[in-house]
Amino acid sequence: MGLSAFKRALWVFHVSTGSCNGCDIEILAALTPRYDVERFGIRLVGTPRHADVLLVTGAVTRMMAERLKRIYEQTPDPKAVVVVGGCGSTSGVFYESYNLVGPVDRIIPVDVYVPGCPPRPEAIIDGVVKAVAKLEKLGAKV
Amino acid sequence: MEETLKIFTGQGYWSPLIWAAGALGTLILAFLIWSQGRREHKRDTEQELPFLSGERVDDPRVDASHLYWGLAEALKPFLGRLKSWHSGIINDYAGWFMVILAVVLLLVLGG
Repeated sequence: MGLSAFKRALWVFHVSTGSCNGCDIEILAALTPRYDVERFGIRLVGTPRHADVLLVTGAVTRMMAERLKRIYEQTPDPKAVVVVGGCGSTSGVFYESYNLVGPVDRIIPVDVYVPGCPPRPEAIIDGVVKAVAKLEKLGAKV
Repeated sequence: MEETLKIFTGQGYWSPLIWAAGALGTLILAFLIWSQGRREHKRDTEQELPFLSGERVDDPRVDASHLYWGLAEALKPFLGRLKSWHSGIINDYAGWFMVILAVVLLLVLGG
C-alpha cells in the first residue's frame, strides 16, 4: 500500500445522507476503547473545512444530494471520500427507490468503498487507511 | 541631514525612515504568514463560505445590529415609535431641534 508512516493526524468528517444509522453506529464503534482509532490521530471533526477525509453513509436521498455536494466542495484539497455501507456503495436494499438519487458516486467522486450492512469497524478502519494512502499520493504531488 | 528627517514632538520624535523600515518589516511578516497558507485553497468557491450542515448560506455576515438585538427586542415598543418619527427629511429633524431647543430654553430661562 506504500504507507510509510502517519505524517500527521487524520481528521475525518462524517456525513449521513439518509442512513438507517447502522453504519453510523459502527463508525462510532471504531472510536470506542475496543478499536480506539484516536490513538493513531484519526478523529471525527465537526466541520468539513477541517477534514482530510469524508466518511459518507446512506443511500443519498433527493434532499441530501445538494447538501452532500456542498459539503464535498467545502472540504479542502487534498481530500478523500470513503463510502461506508452497502446503501452508499450501491443503494443496497433501496435500489431504484423513487426518492433516491444515489448511490454516492453519482453525486461526488468516491475513492474507497467499504461494503457491508453494516460493515464491521475493522473494515471501516481499513477503508480509512486506504484513504490515507491516497492522501499521501496526492500530498506528494502538491 | 539627520535633523531634517526627524520631527521632535516633545513626546519623542517621528522619523519617516524608521516608519518606512517598520512598514517594510510588517509587510515581510505579513508575507511570511500568508505564504504559510494552504495553496490548494480555492477562491470564489464554497470553500470560502461557512459550514452550516451543508445548507446554502446566502448572507453569512454578522451585522453590528446583531450585537444589540436583545436590547432592541426588549425596547421594541419604545424604539418602534422612535423609528416611525425617523422620516429621513431634514426639515423634520430641524423642526424637532427647534422644538427641543425652545423647551430647554423655557426650562432654563423660565425656571
